[in-house]
Amino acid sequence: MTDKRILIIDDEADVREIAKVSLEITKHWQVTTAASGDEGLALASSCHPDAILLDVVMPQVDGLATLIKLRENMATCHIPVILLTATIRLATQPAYAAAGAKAILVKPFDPGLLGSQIETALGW
Amino acid sequence: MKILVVDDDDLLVEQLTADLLAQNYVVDTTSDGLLGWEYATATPYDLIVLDINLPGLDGVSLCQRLRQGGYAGAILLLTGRSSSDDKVMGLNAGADDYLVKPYTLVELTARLRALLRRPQLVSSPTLRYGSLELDPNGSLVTVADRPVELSPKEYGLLELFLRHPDRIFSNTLLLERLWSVEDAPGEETIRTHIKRLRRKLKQAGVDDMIENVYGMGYRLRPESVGPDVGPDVSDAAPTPAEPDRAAAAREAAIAAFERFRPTIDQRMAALRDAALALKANHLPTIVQTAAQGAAHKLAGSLGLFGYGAGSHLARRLEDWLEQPDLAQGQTFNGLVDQLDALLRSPPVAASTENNTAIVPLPPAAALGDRIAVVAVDDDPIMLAQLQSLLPRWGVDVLGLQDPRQTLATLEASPPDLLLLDLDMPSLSGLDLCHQLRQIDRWQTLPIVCLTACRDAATLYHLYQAGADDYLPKPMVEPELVSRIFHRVERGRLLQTLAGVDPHSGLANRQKGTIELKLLLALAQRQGEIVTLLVIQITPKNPPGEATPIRSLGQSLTGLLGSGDVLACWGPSEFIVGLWATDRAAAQALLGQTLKLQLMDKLSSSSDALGTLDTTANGTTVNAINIDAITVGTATFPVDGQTLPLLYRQAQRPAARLPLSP
Repeated sequence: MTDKRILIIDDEADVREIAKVSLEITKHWQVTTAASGDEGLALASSCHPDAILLDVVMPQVDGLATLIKLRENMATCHIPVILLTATIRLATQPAYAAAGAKAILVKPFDPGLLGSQIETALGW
Repeated sequence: MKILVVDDDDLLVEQLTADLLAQNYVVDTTSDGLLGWEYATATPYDLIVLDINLPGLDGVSLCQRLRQGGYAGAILLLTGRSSSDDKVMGLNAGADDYLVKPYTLVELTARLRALLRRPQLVSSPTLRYGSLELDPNGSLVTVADRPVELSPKEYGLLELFLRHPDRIFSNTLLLERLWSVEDAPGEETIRTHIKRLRRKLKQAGVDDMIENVYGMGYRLRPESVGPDVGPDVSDAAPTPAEPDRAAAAREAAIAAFERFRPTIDQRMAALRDAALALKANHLPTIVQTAAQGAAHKLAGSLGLFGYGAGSHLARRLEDWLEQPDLAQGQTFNGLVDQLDALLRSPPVAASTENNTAIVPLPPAAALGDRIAVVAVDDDPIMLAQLQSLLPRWGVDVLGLQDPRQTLATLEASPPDLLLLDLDMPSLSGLDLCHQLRQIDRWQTLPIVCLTACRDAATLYHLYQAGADDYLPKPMVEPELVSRIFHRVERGRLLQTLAGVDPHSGLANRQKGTIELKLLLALAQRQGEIVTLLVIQITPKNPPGEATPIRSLGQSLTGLLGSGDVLACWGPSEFIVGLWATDRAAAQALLGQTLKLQLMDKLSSSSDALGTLDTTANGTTVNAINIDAITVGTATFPVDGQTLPLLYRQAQRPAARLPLSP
């Protein structure tokens, strides 16, 4: 069952922690977390996750900048990305879809359902 | 590309095979499910087409077995049932796409080609052997998390062994799987590759992974249950049922709340600062910004800890702070007090299934242009809703309340998709759909029906009338958006495959090439001549709003005989093949005529493209959007025997047809 690796990039510690706990409990996935876009980029190329949950609103390197950098790197360009946002309108700009984000997940998510929702969105 | 067709409908198999062979695919066919399994395990296929109802082994089970057996190519299911349960079952079993019978051959081949084009068909799970991991998605091999450098062939061998842990691979089988017919090496080479792979694995710490089976070949050594294999904790522990685990996750989140209490308190403090400032009737920007950030974060996090209502209140606070109205300060303060009180009460570990949403984004390819949709619905509220929802997804909606104006509207501004309400008083959506499908031009337009009834009879009539898809009312935004994207993308794909250039409505370059080659082959056989005209348009720089290419294409169509070929070659280029016509005849036929006719047609065209003026260098169009038209000619067989040669000949300045009187 531990067949998926997920990377969560979010500057808010509570969201990171709950997402991690939720995916570990419900799906037994291996979850790595990053508190900033830069940290996330480094982890994405070293730990080869199966999917990335990416917060849209972050200080310094925000979600879109992170997404674009993920796409520019050969090692990370194929990893599916789901955007996390509390405000759906922030993520519906065509730029996010153009950069290849797969879906938008509206915060707060239900810790009981997060894993299944990711599976559905990515066709796992 | 190798394709296996498993279907017991002989007629369909025969047609499909002929069609696929004509497209240079290698095709195997069988009518039995079990035989299908035999075929698929014996030879690697790029794509397998499966009927659901099969003797021997049904399509869904076969699909499941193929996926479990590590088949990574594409699978298309053919089904006579249109219930969504069957589709879901098929897709869950690992099919990439399904097609409901009856379908047209064109649609089937279109789907097949779309599937074959996808580079990564299945996101394959990581393969493991002890501490060795092979990630097929990144072609990466690691042992104890350290990467192992392998050549492509060594990687291919390793992946093959890992995917088929019980299977013995003979040299012949390895050759068949990993080498193409052209560069198949001797058996010695295979031994060398295996030797190198073993050495590299040994250096990385995995010894003796591939074993020799005397007289038969190689296989993966069965994994020992030694210390190398880490105990799988999740499998060892009794696995609680899905709902239990969901509940456990919610409870764990609530239990974590106390740890994050300080963060939440800080955010609440920022809101209280704003409330205090508002009591003094003054909200400094710095306080407002801090409070807005805090409200945003609370909105995104409180629901995680069982405070769904808290997230809701925080979102209202965030909205209020977006445009603060100091006179209404008590509204804000009231909301902060409510939130404060809520956070002192215990959290609720309830499912929020109906409140949390994951919204799929359209594939990047669909975003090239904005999508134009015409929506026909007698209900103005519905139209207004569509017009407010869709533009931010890149979809522009032209609303139409009177269905009788549909045809005129479509002609005036051809959309990418038509949304059609089924239940309208003056003209039923079904009749309208049926009428549109009788008209050549609208046969390929994607039509999606909106309907409150979803019974089988309604759906049957709907597809019968030519609709592509339906959306149940009331509409749900994510579903509406993803259906529109899906249909438009498929519509564009089908047009390309059907050989239609979407801008001009003429044959596209692909289809034009085929038709011109046929024309030349026919001319050769019958000793006839063909004159090729290359018509190039220089659009005004910068080009205007309306593209003249559709009007121009239609004008040209009117000038040609039935044996002639006309195709759109590029964004501003047409090619005409004139049967039994030499250059002089082409000149006589089209020189003056082309000018006069084009002038006539262009000036009377709906987008008033203007008039033509002849100069020494060609013809200038006094038009809104066109600067010049040039016509080059080349005649088969005197100027060349092949299409590329004739095309090049026609490009020379000397080949230019004088359009002067």
